[in-house]
Amino acid sequence: MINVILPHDEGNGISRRQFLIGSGVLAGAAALFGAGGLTPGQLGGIKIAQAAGLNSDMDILMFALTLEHVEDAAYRAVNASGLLSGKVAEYFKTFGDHEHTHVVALTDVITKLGGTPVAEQASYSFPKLTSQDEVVKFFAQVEEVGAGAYLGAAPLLQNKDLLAAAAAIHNVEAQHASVLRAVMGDAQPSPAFGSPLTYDQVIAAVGPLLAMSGGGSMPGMPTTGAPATALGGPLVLALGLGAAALGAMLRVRSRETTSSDESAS
Amino acid sequence: MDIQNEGVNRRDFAKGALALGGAGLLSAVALGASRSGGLVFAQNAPFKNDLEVLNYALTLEYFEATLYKTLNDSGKLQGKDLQYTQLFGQQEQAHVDAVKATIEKLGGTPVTKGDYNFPTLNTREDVLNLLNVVEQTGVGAYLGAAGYIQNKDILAAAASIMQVEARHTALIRYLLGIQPVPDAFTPAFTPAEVLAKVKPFFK
Repeated sequence: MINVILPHDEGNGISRRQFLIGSGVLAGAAALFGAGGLTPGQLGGIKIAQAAGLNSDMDILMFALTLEHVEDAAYRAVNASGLLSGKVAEYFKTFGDHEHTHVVALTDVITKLGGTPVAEQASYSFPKLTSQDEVVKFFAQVEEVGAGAYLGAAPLLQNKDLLAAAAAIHNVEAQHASVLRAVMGDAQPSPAFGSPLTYDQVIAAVGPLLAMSGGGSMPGMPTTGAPATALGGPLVLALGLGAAALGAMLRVRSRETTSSDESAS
Repeated sequence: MDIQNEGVNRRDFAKGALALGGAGLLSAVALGASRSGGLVFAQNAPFKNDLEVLNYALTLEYFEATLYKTLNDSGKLQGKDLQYTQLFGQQEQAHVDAVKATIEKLGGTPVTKGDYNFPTLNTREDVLNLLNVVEQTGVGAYLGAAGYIQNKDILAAAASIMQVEARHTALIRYLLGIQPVPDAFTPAFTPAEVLAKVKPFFK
């Protein structure tokens, strides 16, 4: 099970969240959320971190498509699992349709822009989920990672139309996440500000789902350094589908993420 | 950061493409369409610089924060409804504070809080429906303005707020018991559309 801490505001009520978001590489894959970002007082010299491996609009689109495939496949699997009922089952059906729409749209634009869209994997290493509650919790985490991934990457898009489309998708991921948190009984199902995730943070979170062997890094790419156990324990191959074969993946190049000062909220 | 002197750069940004919605937008990009017919702002960007975008945002955030406060104090909401709307109201106030502080830090003059005409609402559904519409307008406003923001840090910050407005709409619809996330892409609105939507509430 990925161990993503759902973003909450610190303290009672609203903490003074940093407004301008810095690159904030957080220590440890387990602490994906928290007091990241910069205060308005640190405005001078702020640079958005160039997420490692996202050096073009095409890289970002492929990154997004990779994540959408994970979500699309996960929703299909759970919607066929019989684990869900009532309103929750309805939500999951709708949210799954959205993710599929995202896959189709991103695949289409990548193709038309001359790229080769990353394909859905033959299988994924989803954790073994045995109840509706577990399902909701897992998907809330996945959606939060999706929202954070888009928030971290979309501002880097050069083309303004792609930016608008990615931002619209990002909003929906966040909506999915918040609804599932409400279903979980989260008293604060929305934070005051969204939290961006860097490329490395996203890979650390979803890497295990992509069934990459050896420490949560993609073959052929430098490891993020986050051991798989930092993500909450070894994942269980679900559904008996066997080891995933990694198909053509992102065209990414390794790059150090920029660490900026973080101040506690 | 040279905000004030960025000037009026002709923005190659298809307002019309936004109106197509997310999937249409992606297709428009692929087809090389940077403009399309029927654009409202084809010739002139409505925002000269990032400060103007931020003040646009601040105008809406003041409106939302005040609306929440009014409705939260009205006695028309209770229980979980009120728990959520109190949280959201605090969050809108945090948005006001953050946007205002950013404008000031950039050397700009923040707009002041407006005077509003809020309708008298009688039922919880009326209250939540109004909040839903207002929040959705906010999402659309940010989305429609995103392409005009020059500075990437400001863009990221605006997106982090826009995301929260989107969450609010979904959670309000969740409270109402209706489809909480009706669209695969949240809709964008041009500034003209936003103004038309909110004008009735401004004195």
